[in-house]
Amino acid sequence: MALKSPSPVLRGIATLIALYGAFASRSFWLFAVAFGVVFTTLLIQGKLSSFARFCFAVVLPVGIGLVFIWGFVRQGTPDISAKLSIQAGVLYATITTLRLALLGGIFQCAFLSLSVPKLVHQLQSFGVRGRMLAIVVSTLNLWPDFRRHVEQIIAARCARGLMPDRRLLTRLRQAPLVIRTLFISGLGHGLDRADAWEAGGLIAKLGQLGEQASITGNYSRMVGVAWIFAAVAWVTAATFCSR
Amino acid sequence: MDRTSYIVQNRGKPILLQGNNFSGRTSLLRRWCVDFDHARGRTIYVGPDVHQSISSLVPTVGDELLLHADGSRQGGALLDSAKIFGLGQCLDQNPFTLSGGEQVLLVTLAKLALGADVLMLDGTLEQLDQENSDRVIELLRSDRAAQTTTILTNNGYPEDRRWHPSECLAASEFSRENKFADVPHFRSSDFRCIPAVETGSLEVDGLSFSYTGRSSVLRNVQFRLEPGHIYSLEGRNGAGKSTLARLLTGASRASSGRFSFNGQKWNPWTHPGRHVVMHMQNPDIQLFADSVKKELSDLPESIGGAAATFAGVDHLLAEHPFDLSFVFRKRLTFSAVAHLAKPWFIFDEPTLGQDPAASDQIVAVLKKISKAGAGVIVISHSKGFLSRLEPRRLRIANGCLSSVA
Repeated sequence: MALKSPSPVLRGIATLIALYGAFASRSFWLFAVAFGVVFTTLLIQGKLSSFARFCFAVVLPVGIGLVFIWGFVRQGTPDISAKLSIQAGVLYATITTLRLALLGGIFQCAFLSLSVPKLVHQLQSFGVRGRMLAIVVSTLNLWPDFRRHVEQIIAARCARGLMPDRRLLTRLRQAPLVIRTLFISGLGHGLDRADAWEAGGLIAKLGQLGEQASITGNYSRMVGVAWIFAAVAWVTAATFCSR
Repeated sequence: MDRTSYIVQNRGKPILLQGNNFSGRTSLLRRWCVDFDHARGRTIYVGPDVHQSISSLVPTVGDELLLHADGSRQGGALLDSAKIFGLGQCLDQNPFTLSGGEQVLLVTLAKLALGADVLMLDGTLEQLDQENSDRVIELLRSDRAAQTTTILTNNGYPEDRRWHPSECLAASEFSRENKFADVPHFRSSDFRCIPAVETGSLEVDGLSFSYTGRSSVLRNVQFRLEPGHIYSLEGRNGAGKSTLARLLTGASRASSGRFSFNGQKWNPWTHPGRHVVMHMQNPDIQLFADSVKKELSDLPESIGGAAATFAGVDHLLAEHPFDLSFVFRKRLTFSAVAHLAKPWFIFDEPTLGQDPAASDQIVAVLKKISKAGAGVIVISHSKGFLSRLEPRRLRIANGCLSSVA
């Protein structure tokens, strides 16, 4: 028997509550529990590797930066004066980093694991339609598109003999050229794509995908209510245990 | 005849629009798009840079097909067609990670499913292998395309075209006003061959490669290529030809394998482009500067000027490369690579978008390079081009490389 999804509105509400809980939480135990749930869900969805890549590529560098700034430069938190406590600064940076990772994990579990038709239906249920829908859906592909395009540009420079080796300094020297090429070709192609969306009627067809998902989506209100209960329990624990 | 009524009269038929480079075919197609849109018809234009016709709205090939299908029933039929065309293994992949030929198949199937009145495929089918090309033409002649007039351009040699004369139309009948006053020159006599300091054999042993999460593209490939010769790398769309070329240039990293140049071991990944350089199929990703002049500035000054003259862009030095037509962009990147002083060259579909006269010049240039002692590897689906080049033939199938008698 196929697993049922919570109906889009209830999924949205539950996610918003859970995201609030991630902001409210300050306890490492609660973070551990939340990450346990997120990891298990992502494992079942087969998306754990995407989340791991997000953590290594985004969260880890941001976390290192935050620890350096709050722990060793500021030596404090926004609530206390500077140069008072390295420990407090490091703790604040660590919790902020864990929140960022948890927000990403919850967002991945709730939205990015959805098939495109269900995601479109989800967005439509929030009132996102027409061109705005196309923009939001395409924006979710932006990061993988950019990453792949950067790889292509570097490969193309290698193929023309314009990158003699792969030492860190050589790679850093490529950065301005890669970023420039990325944006110029991205802008040009973006305009062409927007024309193609209009000419091919793809914006309307994207809307139709969502409408079909609303019919065949196998949604359940009960599952949605269960999601909301779980999210409320998480927020309650996060609020009271973090005092 | 009025353009719009001509299209309406030929509904459901594929038409080959004949003409050479700069005969005004692309301008004509663009004008027809505008004319027909004014007449409340729907036209879709797909150019030789086919990746620009991928929607970028959805993450996978399967989703791209589903997006273009009208309803789940047609979506099922479209997925079945995709499987027939060999895209069944790629449904979970990102469309941009497909090979050039596979992207053509995806875009053609998807755009046909939109049921437009006119579908224009400008130099698109040249990137397909013969079997896939025949299948697409069969599809365009079938009931599946009954509502659509397909207008194609094909730049290949006459022997590469499989069209009945009744399906052909001369661009000159419609586009006298579009003709260029002077056809830009592209002559092999302008090419200045720069011999490499050191030439030598290229040897590969036990080379394997697979993309993340996919089965092996190359399995235990081994070969030895001698300098001063031209080799052709042949195989079906998606067989791994471009992948092998990327591994040799160091643009991608091999899972395993050893590379030797002139008997000396070397790692292309850590020293990309040291012994092997490559002219890629898609010129747009190999253009980096904001003017044609700067694009060639990595070459010695005198050679840079010669490279611009050879490509026929010497009067466009201040132009941004992306403002040039596809034909010029392809020639510019070809010239930029061919003028390097390297022992090995790989040219991936060098004749894409080029008419027979221009392709003849490319043949002459490649022969000049090999006569100067360098090795040349060519990837092409054009039988006419390969027969004129007379290469030593290599074929990739099922991840293995073999020589063709």
